[in-house]
Amino acid sequence: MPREWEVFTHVQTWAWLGGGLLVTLRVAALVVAISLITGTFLALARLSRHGALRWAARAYINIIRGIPVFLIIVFTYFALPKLKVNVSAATSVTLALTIYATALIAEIVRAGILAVPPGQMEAARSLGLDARTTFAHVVLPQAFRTMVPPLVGQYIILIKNTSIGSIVGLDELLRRTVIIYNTYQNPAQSLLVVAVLYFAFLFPLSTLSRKLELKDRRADFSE
Amino acid sequence: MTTLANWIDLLRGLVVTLEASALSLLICIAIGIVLALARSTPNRIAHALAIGYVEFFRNVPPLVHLFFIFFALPRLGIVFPPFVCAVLGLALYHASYVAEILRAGIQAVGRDQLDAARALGFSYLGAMRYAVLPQSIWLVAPPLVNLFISLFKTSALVAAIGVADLMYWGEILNEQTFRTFEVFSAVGLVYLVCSIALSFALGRLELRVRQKGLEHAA
Repeated sequence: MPREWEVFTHVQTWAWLGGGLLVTLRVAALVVAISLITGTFLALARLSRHGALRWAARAYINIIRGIPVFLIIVFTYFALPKLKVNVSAATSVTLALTIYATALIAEIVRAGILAVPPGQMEAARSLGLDARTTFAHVVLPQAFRTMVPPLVGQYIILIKNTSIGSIVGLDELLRRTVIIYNTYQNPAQSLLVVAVLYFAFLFPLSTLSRKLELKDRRADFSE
Repeated sequence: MTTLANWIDLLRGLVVTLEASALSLLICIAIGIVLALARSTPNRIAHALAIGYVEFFRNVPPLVHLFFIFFALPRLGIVFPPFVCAVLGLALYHASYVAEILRAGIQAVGRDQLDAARALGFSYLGAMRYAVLPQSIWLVAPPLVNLFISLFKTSALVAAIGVADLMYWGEILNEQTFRTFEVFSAVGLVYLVCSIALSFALGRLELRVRQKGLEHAA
């Protein structure tokens, strides 16, 4: 066994990397869960009757989509302590990724809402449901169906983006890999291992996302 | 952002960002075309290699590619300057997306066009070059435009391997001046203006390509 591979024969190495992977998946899942809520509100603002609200939502979405996620992560990391808010790297990165994902998920939710035929809303309203109930119980559940494939895609992007958190000290998979190869001087072997680990998680997810998309398209054709 | 000198630093960084983006854009299109063609050939080995490339590169974070090229390749005796590492990393990652977009375009044009061109005596590559690819250009233009803007933004990652791009200068100025809000707002503004300009310019280009496509079809 060449020296560079030796560290990967120890169970502890894999447990340590597994812990990092868990952090990656947890941060990404948390961000998706929060931005699903914030993104829904942003999408509602984007579709609102009030011009100012609509304009503000559009501005937020377009600004966030026009700058690199790396910049948002670094900015949040340095800005929070300036505002006398001292939080862990995990919280800082979660916040930064949420700021970013909210804009993208808002667009997914908006597309989902617009894809629900207006007849559904009209039918619910004519049955006497108020606007809020109609939205929460008729429009949103149906919108959710079209939203699932792009949301899976968003989760994949978030898992990839979480790796940027390693630069500001988020104790996730890539950072732990960097620590390993700095200690054992084996960047080629370590990075190959981490690439395979990422691939093992992302490949099934992206295959799933593509299948869902195809299924969704077929469902559209049959209607 | 107190002085003019700081803005000049940022603009110097922007030049590097634009250079890295433009070069990796050209390379990723070239690799993407080769991959898309390989995936559409009847050759099993080429087909499998292309699928393997696309799936591997897009399911691993781009930062891992950049780190591998920058930190690991020198250990294997392959040394590139940081800027070349940056361009390579960005190009190899985005080539997988270009390949997928082009493949969808080739599929949408349909087998009949390829078969017809082959029947007229074109070679496989000739049929692709003269019959299939020109027709798929208008189909693939919108997703390609989005990909290019995303490449421009992803290029900020090259700061992590020490390439002095816009993001890099932002971090340096932040450390020097401690004016976090001013520095990163300025950096964000430059990125934003560029992405908007880029999407506007590419949008115009896309429109022209489409109009030409309609003229051809008519």
